[in-house]
Amino acid sequence: MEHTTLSSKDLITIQDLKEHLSLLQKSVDEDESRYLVRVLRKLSITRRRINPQILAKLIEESLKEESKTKSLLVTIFPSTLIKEGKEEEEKKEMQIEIEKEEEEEEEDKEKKKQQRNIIIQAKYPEEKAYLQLLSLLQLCKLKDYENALKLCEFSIDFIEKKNRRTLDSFFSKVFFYYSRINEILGHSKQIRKKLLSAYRTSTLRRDVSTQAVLINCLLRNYLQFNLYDQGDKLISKSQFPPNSLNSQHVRYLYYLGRIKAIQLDYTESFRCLREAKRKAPRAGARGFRLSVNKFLCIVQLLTGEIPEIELFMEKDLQKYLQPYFELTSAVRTGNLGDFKKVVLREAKVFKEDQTYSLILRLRQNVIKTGLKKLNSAYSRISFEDISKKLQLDSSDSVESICSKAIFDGVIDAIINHEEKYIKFKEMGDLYSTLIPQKAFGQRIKFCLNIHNTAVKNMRFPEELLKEQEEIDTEEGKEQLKELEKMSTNNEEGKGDFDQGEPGNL
Amino acid sequence: MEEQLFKLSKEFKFQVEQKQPDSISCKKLLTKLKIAMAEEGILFPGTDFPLDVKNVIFAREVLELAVIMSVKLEDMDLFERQISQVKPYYFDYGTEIKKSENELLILGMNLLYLLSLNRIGEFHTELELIEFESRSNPFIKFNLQVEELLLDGNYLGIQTICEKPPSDLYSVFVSRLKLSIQELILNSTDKSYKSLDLKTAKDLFMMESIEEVKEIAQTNNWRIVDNKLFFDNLDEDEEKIPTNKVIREIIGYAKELEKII
Repeated sequence: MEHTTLSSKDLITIQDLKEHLSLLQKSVDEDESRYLVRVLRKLSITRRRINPQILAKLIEESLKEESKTKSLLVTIFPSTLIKEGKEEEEKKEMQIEIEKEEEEEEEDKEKKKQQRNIIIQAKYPEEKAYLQLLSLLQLCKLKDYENALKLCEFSIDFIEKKNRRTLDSFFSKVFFYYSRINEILGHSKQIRKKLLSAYRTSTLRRDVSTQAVLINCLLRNYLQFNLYDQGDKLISKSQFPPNSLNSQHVRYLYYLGRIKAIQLDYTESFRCLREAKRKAPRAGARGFRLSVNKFLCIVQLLTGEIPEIELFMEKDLQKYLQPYFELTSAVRTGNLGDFKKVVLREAKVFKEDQTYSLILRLRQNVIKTGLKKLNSAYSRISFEDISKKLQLDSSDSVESICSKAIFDGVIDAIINHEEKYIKFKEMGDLYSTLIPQKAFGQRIKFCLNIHNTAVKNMRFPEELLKEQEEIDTEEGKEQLKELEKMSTNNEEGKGDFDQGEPGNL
Repeated sequence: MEEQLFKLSKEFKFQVEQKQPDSISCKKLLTKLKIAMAEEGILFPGTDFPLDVKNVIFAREVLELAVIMSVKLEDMDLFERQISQVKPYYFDYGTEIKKSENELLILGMNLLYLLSLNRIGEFHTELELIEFESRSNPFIKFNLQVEELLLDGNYLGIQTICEKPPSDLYSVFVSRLKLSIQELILNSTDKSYKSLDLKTAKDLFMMESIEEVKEIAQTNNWRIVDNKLFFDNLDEDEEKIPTNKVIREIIGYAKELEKII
């Protein structure tokens, strides 16, 4: 890490971070988790703004000499990073800022005047945990995984000993990075035991966010080694906390969908993947959305339906989904030769995406689709013609294939063995059966479900209205201002989804 | 202690490798061996590193022999148990111990066993654990081909391929597979044919004689009229309206409507 001076942008960042630390202190003092949540929500923006110099300065100023945190962090981000003679430049920067101030509103001016001389001392473990987390993020950015691992382990021990509920969200984040770093370093197998025992502890302590993160880390670990059996057992024995963050819930649905797909439970898998796609962010998280789309496409093909073309038409994912588009067209036309060609040509891509084994199962579907098409096109067709059209290898096997297809309900026909043809039954009057009513009933149920969930989630504005009536005191007005601030911050930091390359979940 | 272990294992190996191992003596030997190994602490794979490679390999060999023994004795419960005991030795040690030569043979037998019981879901989960490169190995390839043919419904193909299994030990599973296929064929011909000549029925059902066909026809209530089988699978009578269900559903809809309004 080079020695450079702090730019004015860096100084603003430092001030912001000091404000975060004071918010954390306030959060613990007043026992209000709002401030803590706000600080963490801004994490995705903050991590982009920090650099080693900022961290070095912050560590030097905010932590007491005797703390173990400081002694560890100082070895990673030594204060020598900041060049000498910075004080002069600091003063200059401050002056420029002062001039700008006079154009700004009253509130900001007051804030800056207060901040100029503030040195926040980290007195609560929350602030130390926050600094550890920031350093961790910086190390990951620099790809210094060895040090990051050391810091992770220190952090986990530190937080676990404290056993404070306010530290839960920090704990979950640290575990997430711990699992990821070990995955990058190739040590995933060894940490399984630790993850499992941490999961047990967090369940005992009712630590919802850590529980969710740990389940996801374990599932990801199992899936990496194709241990679908163990993943299934974990899911059946544990209960994913329903009040966890949306991002963790989405990840859980994705892993669940993948495991169900391998176990041939395609309808359930499709439902999970579709929900995961719906709850994932619209823009950003490109790697995740790409993977979900790929699996959705394959699972939908395996259920026997053809995915709609909008699935492949999302702008930023279009070119990566091209092989899957070709695969779908081959399945749709029931053309076994084309299907084999596409699979052979794109085998490498499919293997990397871990969809290869699922795609091999599609062979059955190609034949089924082909037979269905023949069903609608012919009333009578000989075995030889079938084998030619479906590009099957021999016409002897056709008879038994058709027999199985009839048994499975794919087609409706009678086989005539002596004259070697198959005769399709005519489609009776569909509306005189009970099928339309069943389909209708399903759709009604679905719409009612959506309606009920919408009503349940609609309670929030009613409460706000009541609050506005009650607020007459100044305290109430202040609270309102805070609420407004929080809602604007909501729009800035969209939760904690990573903006990584594809393949980074 | 070690010498006794070696002696026992040699004797066990000798017994198992015979064509028709004696069931009682083999099982006795196996229990003795397992107790001896447990006393030494090497029966179940431990998680302490560094590994004592010799012990691990020894335990694995014994368990592999146990699997082979259960196959020869056609004891399927024992087979399942032994397979689950031997699996951790294959997967959890990674590259620290040399690969066993019998690994793919044993895993292949497990796959075929699952296929013959039509447990396709477990078949696929087990298949995922095997690396891609091993899929071209004849033991595994055989199973993949059988699975493909089975799902297609290409039972003739299965017959041809089963005439040459990659190992004699597979023949036990092959015969079970044939039984389950027969059942599948019977079910599907019931629905898909109107009538069949008795002779073609015999070939189709993979049976030995026409007498067997007649027996099956009796059990399934198929008519036999001058050497032809007739499956009475004409359309059923009209569907009755399930009044209870319909009433319940409509009352449900009325309730929901009330809630909205």
